[in-house]
Amino acid sequence: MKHNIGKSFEILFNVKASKIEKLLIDYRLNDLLVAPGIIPGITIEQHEMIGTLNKWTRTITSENFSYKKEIDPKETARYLYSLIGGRKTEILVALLYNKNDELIKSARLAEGGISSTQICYQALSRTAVEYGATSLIIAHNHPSGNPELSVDDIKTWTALEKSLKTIDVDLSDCFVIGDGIFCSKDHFSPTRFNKYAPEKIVLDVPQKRHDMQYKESLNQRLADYANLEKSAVSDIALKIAERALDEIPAQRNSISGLCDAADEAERVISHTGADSGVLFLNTRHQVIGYKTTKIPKTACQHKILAANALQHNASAAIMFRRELQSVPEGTPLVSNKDCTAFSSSEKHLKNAGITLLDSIVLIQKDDRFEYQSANSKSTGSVFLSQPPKKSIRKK
Amino acid sequence: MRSEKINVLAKLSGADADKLNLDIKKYGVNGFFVHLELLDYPLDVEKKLNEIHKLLLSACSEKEA
Repeated sequence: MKHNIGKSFEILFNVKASKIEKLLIDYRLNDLLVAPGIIPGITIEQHEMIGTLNKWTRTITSENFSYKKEIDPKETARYLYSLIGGRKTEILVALLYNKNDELIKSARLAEGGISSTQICYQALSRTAVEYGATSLIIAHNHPSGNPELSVDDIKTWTALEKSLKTIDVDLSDCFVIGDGIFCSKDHFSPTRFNKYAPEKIVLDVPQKRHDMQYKESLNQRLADYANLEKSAVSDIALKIAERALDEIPAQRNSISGLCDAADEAERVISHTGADSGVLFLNTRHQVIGYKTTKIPKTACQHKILAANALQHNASAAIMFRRELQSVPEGTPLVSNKDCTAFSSSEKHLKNAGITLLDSIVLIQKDDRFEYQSANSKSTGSVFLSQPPKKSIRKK
Repeated sequence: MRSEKINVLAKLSGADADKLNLDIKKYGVNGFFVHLELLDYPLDVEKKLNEIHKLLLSACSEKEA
C-alpha cells in the first residue's frame, strides 16, 4: 500500500517514492494531502497541486456514484450507446458489476476495424478477477448502425459464457449496439431504444446552507425537475435536496467578546475533556467548528493546524488552554511560554489567511472556570455548563 | 467555465483540459474514472489519470477507516 502510494507520487509529482514511504510511517496519506508542506523539498507549484488533489477526494466522497444494473435491456442499451455509440470503429467493452449489481468498471477489451473485433478471453477473465467482478455485460457497436447478429457473435458469446463460468463470473447479457437499435442475448431480433441519453443534472446541495434565498432557489429547481424524466435526476440528489429543505437552521454561537470565547472554550473542555484546542470562526465570528489539539510547537504542527482551519473554511480562530496545575493567587494565568506559543501560531495562521483573534488560558475553580486573555490580559470567570471530563493528557 | 481543480488535473495528467471538463461534467468524477478506458485519452494520459484515481481512492478509504 505504502509502496503504491509512493509510486503514484513519483509518477505524478516526481517526488522520490522512498521519501513518501518514509513519511507514511509517521503520517497518513490524508495528512500529506492536507498539509503537503510535510514533504521535504517540494516546490510551491507541487504544494498547490497536492492541495487540489485533497479537494478532489472530497468531491469523490460527496458524489454518491452508484450505477445499478438496469433490469430493462432498453435502458442498458441506451447507457451503452452513450459510451460506444456513433463510433467509426468497432469497439468491444465490458461493464463489470460487483455483487450488489453496482457498476465498478467499464473496460475496453478490443478495438477492431469496421467489421470485426477480436476477443481475448484471457484478458477479459483477468480484468474480471482484477476488479473482483461477480457479473458483467459485454457489448460491441456496429459502426454501420445496423445491429444485426452474425453467427460469429452468438458463437463468441457462448464461448465467453463458458470461459467466465470457470472463474465464477456470470455473463448477464451481451449487446450489439446500432444506431437507436440493439440486439442482445435475449432479443435476437433488432429492438428500438431511445438513444438520446438524458443530460446529467447535478444538484448542488451544500450541506451547511440554510438561508432563505437558497431554500427558495432549491424549491424552484425541484419544481423544474418534476417536469423532467425521472431518470434525469438521481434519487439520491433529490433526497439530499428535500432533506436540506426540512432542516432547521443550525444555531451558531457568535463570539462578540472575551466572555463569549471563554464560554465556548468551557463548553468544548467540559464536553471533550481536552486540555487545549482551537475554535474556528467564520467571517461573522460564528463558531463553525473546533479542534482539540496540543498548542502547536513545531513547524509541522503549525502547518497541520492551519490546514485544519482551512478545512473548516475558517477565517478566524481562538486558541485556548486549560491550566491543570494550581496557580498561586495573584499570579497571571498566561505565562511567557503561552505568549511565545500563541504568537508563533498567530504568525503561521496569518500566512494561511486566518486571523487569531485571541488566546485564552482557563483554570477550574470549584464550579467555574477563571480565564485570562493573552491579548488584553483581562480576566473573568464562567460557570461550568456540566462537570468537566477529566483531562485526557497522559501522565 | 473550467475550475481550478480541472486545470490541476489536466496539468498533472497531461490531458486536454476542455475534454476533461466535458467528460467530468457528463459522467461525474466517479463515473469519469469508471469509464476512463472508453474515453479515448492517450495511453500515457490514461496511465497518469489511473494513478490519480488510485491515490484518491486510497485517501478516501483511509478517511472511512
